[in-house]
Order: sequence, then structure tokens, then C-alpha cells
Amino acid sequence: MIEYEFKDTFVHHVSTSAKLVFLFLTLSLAFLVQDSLKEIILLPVWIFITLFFWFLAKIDVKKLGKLGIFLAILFLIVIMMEGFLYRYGHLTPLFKVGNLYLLGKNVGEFTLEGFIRGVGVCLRILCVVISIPLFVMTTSPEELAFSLAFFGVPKRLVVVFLVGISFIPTVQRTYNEIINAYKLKGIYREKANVIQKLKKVYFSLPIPLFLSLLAKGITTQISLETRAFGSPRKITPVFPSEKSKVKSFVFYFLFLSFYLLLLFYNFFGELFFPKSF
Amino acid sequence: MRASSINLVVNMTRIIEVEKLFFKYPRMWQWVLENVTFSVQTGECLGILGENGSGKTTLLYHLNGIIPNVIEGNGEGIVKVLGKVVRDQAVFEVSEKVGTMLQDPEAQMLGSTVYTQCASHISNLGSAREEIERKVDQSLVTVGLFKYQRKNPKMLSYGEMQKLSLATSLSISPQLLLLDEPFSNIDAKSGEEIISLLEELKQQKGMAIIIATQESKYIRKIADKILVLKDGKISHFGKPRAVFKQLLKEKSRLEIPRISILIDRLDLEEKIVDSKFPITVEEGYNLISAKVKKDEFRTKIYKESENESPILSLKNVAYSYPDGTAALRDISFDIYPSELLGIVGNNGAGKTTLVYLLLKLLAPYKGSIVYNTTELQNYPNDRLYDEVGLVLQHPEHQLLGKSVEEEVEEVLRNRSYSEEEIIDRIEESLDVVNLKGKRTVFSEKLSYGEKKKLSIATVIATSPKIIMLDEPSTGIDYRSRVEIAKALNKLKQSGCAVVVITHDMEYVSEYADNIVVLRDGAVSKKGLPVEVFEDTKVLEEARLKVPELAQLGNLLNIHFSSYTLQEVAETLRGKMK
Repeated sequence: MIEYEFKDTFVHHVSTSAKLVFLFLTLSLAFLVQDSLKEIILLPVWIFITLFFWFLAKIDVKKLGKLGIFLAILFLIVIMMEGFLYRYGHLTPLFKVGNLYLLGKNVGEFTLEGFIRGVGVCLRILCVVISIPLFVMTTSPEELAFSLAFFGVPKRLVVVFLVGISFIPTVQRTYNEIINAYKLKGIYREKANVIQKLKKVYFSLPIPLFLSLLAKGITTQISLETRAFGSPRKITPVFPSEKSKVKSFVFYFLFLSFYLLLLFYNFFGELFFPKSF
Repeated sequence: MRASSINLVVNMTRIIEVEKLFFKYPRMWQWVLENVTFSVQTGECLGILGENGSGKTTLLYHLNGIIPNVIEGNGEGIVKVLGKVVRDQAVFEVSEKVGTMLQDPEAQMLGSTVYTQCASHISNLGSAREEIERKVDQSLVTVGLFKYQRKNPKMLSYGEMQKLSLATSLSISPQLLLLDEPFSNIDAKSGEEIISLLEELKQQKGMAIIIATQESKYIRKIADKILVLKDGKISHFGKPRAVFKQLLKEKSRLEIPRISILIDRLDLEEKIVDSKFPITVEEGYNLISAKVKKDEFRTKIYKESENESPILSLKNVAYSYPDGTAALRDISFDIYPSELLGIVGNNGAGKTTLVYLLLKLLAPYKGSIVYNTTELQNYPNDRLYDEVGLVLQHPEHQLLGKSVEEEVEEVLRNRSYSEEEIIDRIEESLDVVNLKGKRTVFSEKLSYGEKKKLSIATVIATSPKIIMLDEPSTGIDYRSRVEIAKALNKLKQSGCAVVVITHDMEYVSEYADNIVVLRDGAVSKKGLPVEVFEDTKVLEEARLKVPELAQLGNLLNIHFSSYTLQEVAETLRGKMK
């Protein structure tokens, strides 16, 4: 599960704003690089930088196993679709599984250009997706909330955001407990078919889940109120890790330098390297 | 002039003043609180006792301003805290001096680490960073959670969350501390530690403390006064001894110290005055030690173990959490039909994990679990869940939001019983848990204790071979506890094995046939209650407490064959000089 984890690492000490800027630049890079060949050169560099920060942040890759499987399946689908369906410019067939013409293109033919295009799309997705755990797993909700408040987001909204984040594991835990209870009550039968499971389990499950979460939500609200949440005094922010200006600067320097270099290559690369297709 | 200055001094020391308080929630016709009047002074502890739904939490909400600021309703009367009328202040104003610990600790955990969670109250008050650091560290050390300061609070056990919630309140150095069921999820040792801590805060810092609870075993030690609520009205108010004596006389549904009940049952010739009425083991011992003939040698009367084959057998079972932390190590014991096995242990000892393994909801990484002569892993799940029932710690997770009758019916329909059988089984199971009168009431409208009883009814309706109960006595009143115990006894007699997972030593001392003590994920002792309770060192290490009647036996050097009140009273009567 992608959630904040306290660790005493370089990235955990980097300021939230630096990490937010990093996230924004990653998104911008994924959109700005449009040339297929450049995608394959530039985005892996950025992915490598992100993975380097992953390494520094000691991100537990095992926890992201399900995400990895999901991405692998998604990438396979994207590459297959682009490989068979891509139909712009000169096409170099790599292999053929049959003949089926669609809008003038033989979609039974897997092309190199389509493959490169598919890899480019996958790299864009990967670029964005791997930046999210780096941000979420090293930035506590309190730090994020404080940054949101700093940017002028109203206090109530910030608290709603904080409560929402803290409720994710609660929802997960409650859901698991209810499913376990359903198994023990004979409502969830392993041998039942999908329709029976939908009808008996998944359609009725929201009721106890909702009732349980509603009760917890009320307690959370009361708890917030009794802890002086509504106080007009200026809150003293307390974060799990102290923020370091030096580390934040190094972080800024590293990724900004690479970003500018990559951007330069993206716009002026043709001056130094052969033109891509 | 002089009179007014005396008045001022009196008012200065009065932390809470409640006068003729009436309250009811919207769309309710009955008062939830009716004509409640009391006061609390600086350095005083007031225990509020009452059954589920008696109005304890509602009263606390009046003291911290939640009512009427957050929860609305109709009411009248005056509530003053620290000399100011609560109604005229915002909750944050009240919460600058008043710390509140709510009953459900999980819903209060919003911080990403134990440290930030503990700082959540004091940081809202805008205190200086250095002060926050000092007070948070101090509070975490006080409740014994300092070593977990970097841990995600959601990963703590319920008992630990409760301690963290207390630490959060302590961090603001409140003048008034409001605690709602603070002992419901914590082990005996932690309960004792919290009591000592509160006693210290009360005496050294003059903090006023209000504890709303159903567990008299803790508050009798710290409360200066006890207020008993019954249907929203004050039924008793006074010093603990006098209140408990009166409750005993009236055969109240509330928990009365077992030592007090025992002394009452001994029918001592002398009349015990209020001031001498015993409410602790030591007091009970002092009262009867001279009158009882002590054994020179303690005769051990252990029951011979019956030569029956176990229904469930664990051999060298081990389990680790996904992050690699060992949760259970080398667990071996057997469960027999018609046996009530108590599995006891401190918070985080691995009790609930063990139950999940026994139900195949988790798989051991080492060892074997044999159920009905078949390896549990090979036993079909659907069949297993037809034969083994679990009552969860939180009954609301087990209910579907239907009426009492329909909740039981749903379980039976899923197991394809005939119409006739369904009707009979509903009738029978509701009768066992004493819920026949509420069959049309929707489950979410039931009290916590009733929900627990209903979840038991849904399990026993299917006549399981084994029933497991996770903390059955938590959060419910004494009478409900007794009713549940009776229901379990009936099941046991029909051949069902009952497994109770708890930290409530009084409960297992009275009802368990055998006990397994878990400590840090391993079995540290197993045997008959008498064997286990004589091994005080093992219990001490497991952060558990010797039950009262066993303590008395140890002090008197008398060996009881079991720790039911009846058995102990009979043994003592036979030894009266």
C-alpha cells in the first residue's frame, strides 16, 4: 500500500514544497516531450533520477508489488495495441499474425514505429507513476496539509483531506474484518458463483461498512473538536522529520539541473543530434 | 465581605459544577440525563458508573462542550467547568484546559506517527516548539510509548492506541481530564499503571479526573466519589465503599468488586460498618484472615485431564507479519470438546493473530494446525466456517444492519436449514442471549452489549463445534457479561468447545476450564486456572494480574479448586473457626 512511512533518509528531510515542484516537473516533462525517439532517450533519464531518489528514500519495493504487476499488464496491452494499430508515417513491419485492413492499415502487422510509440507511452506512464510513491511515501499527511494551508487552502478543507487520508487504512481494516465476518457467517461462500457473491456479499457489504465508518467519523469529529481544532491560534506545525534547507537545496539543484538539460535537449536536440522520425 | 471571600476560595477549587441538568437528543421523548447535580473539586477523582446507554458519555460531552456545540439536543440546567458556563464557550476554549479521551481510540488516530499524533492537541494551542517537544516526550514516556514514537499509530494494538490517546490529552497538562472507558481495551498491568499515573497527577498537580466506566475494579482504587447513573438519573452518589455496599444490597447489574461479594456471601456474624466495607483484596483479607483456619501446606487439587481427543490441535505454530516481525512463535496446545479455554495475554501478545490462524484467515509459516483429525489447510473453507464460529471484538462489523431476528435468520438461510428449523433456531438462540424481547429492533439501535449478544446469537444459532470470542467482556456491563457467560456455558454443555481470547483475568478465573498465557507471541504457561494463577511470576511477566479471589487464596495460603465465587465462599465457610 502506498502510504507514508517514517524513515530517517535524505528525501524524508527534503521540504514538501521541493517535492511538490518535483512532482509538477515530472508531469510537465511527461507532457512536453512529444517526439517518439526523444521520449525513449529523455524519459528513461528522468526515470533513472527518480529511481535514484527512491534508493535514497529507502522505498520498500516489495510493498509496491501489486502496482508492478498492474503496470506490467498495462504496458503489455499498450505496446501490443500501438504495435498493431499505429499507422502514421513510414512503417517497418517486425512480424505479422494475419491480414486485416482497418482504415488502410494492416492491423495484423506489428511495426517497429508502433512498438517505439508504445514504449514511449509506457515510459510516460512510468515516469508519472513512480514519482507518486516517492512523494507519498516520504511526505507525511501533516506536512502536506501544512503546505496546502500555506498555499491558502481553507483549514476545514485541509482537515477533511487529513481525515480522508487517515481513514484509508481504517476503511481497509474494517472492510477486511467485515469480509472475514461474512466468511464465518456463511454469507461469503468460496464455491458461490460471481452473481451470488455480488448479490450476497458485495451489494450488502456497504451497509455495515458505512455504519461502522459513520460511527468512526462522528468520533473523529468529536476528537478533533476536543483537541482544540477550532482554535483561532496559529498552529505550531509538528512533522515526523525535521526539514533540512541544505538537503532541500541539493534536491532542488539535482532535479532542476537534469530537468533543464533534458528540456534543452527536447527543444534544441536537433542542433546536435540527428533528427528523429 | 468575609463571607464573599470564603465563597471565592470555594469556587476557585471547584472545577466542575453541574446543576439540575436535563438533556435529550433530537426526536427523543425521554430524557437521557435527568436532574443531574454534582460537583468536583481540584485534585478529586469522580468515577461515573452505569450500564450501557445509561448516559455516561452524554454527561462527559456536557463537560467538554461537545454538547451543545457539536451535538445538539434539548436541555436545561447549568454546567460550569473551571468557573465558566460551558454552553457560553466554544469547544476549543474548553479544550485548552480540559483533556478528553474517547472510547474508540482508532477513530482518534489521525497522525502519521505516534509522535505527531501525541502532539496533535498541544500544537493546535500554538505552544512553542520546544515546549511541545518536551511535553510530548514526557507524555509518551509516561504511558510507555516513547519507543514507538516513529511508528504509525494505526499499527498499534487497541490498548496501545488507548494509551496514546491518554498521552495526547496529558500533553496539554490539563486541569481536568475526562476519560471515557479508558480501561476497556488494555491489559491489567497497563490499567494499574494508568491508575498510578492518574493518582500522581491528581495528588501532585491537583488535576481533577472524571472516569466514565463499567469497570469498578480500577476506579475503586482511585475514585474519591462514585456517581452511578441509571437511565440518565443519579441513583447513587458518594464514597466508593458506601456506593458499592448499597449496590451489593440492591443486587445491582453493575460490577461490584468480587471481594465485596465474597465477604457478603460469607455471612460474617459481625455487622460491617460502611467505613470498613472491604473493596480491595487486602481489606477483605484483613477482615477474614483471623477468622479462617489456614492450611499448613497448600493442598493442590488439580483436576485430572480427561482422556479425550482434541478437536483442534496446534503444534509448533509460528506466524510473522508481512514486514517480517514475528507475531507468534512455537505455539502448541490442544482444544477439547466441551472445554472453555481462555487465551490470555497483554496488549500486542498475539491473541487476535492466533484466532485468525485458527480460522484459516491467516496461514502459519511454520507448524501444523489439525482440526477434526484433518490438517486445517486441507479442510474446505465453507465447511470450516459452518462448524467454527467467531465473535469479533467489534460486534458492529459482524452485523448487517437488519432487525435482530433477521440478523440470525440471514445466517441460517445461508446454511440451507428448513423453514421450521430456522424458526426454532432463531427462537432458541435469542432466548440464550436474552434478546427475545428485541427481535424487531434494528441492530444499529442496540447498545454495545446487546450488539455483542446478538453477534453471539448469530454464531450459536448454527450449533458450531467451536466458538471463539475475541474480548467478549470488553465494553459491556457486568450483567451482560454474566448473561453471555451463561450462554457460553449452555453451549459448552452441548459439546461445543469455547475459546475466549481476553485480557480480563476475572472473567477467565470464573469461567475458564483451562488457560493459555501468551507473552510476546509465545505460550508462557498453560494449565488449569489454579495452576496458572499460582504462578504469579509468569503472570507478572505477561503483564497480567492475578484475579482477586486467587490473590486472596495466595494471601490466606488456601488452595481453591476453582475461582468461582460459589466455590471460594464454600471453601472459606468450611474453614471458618
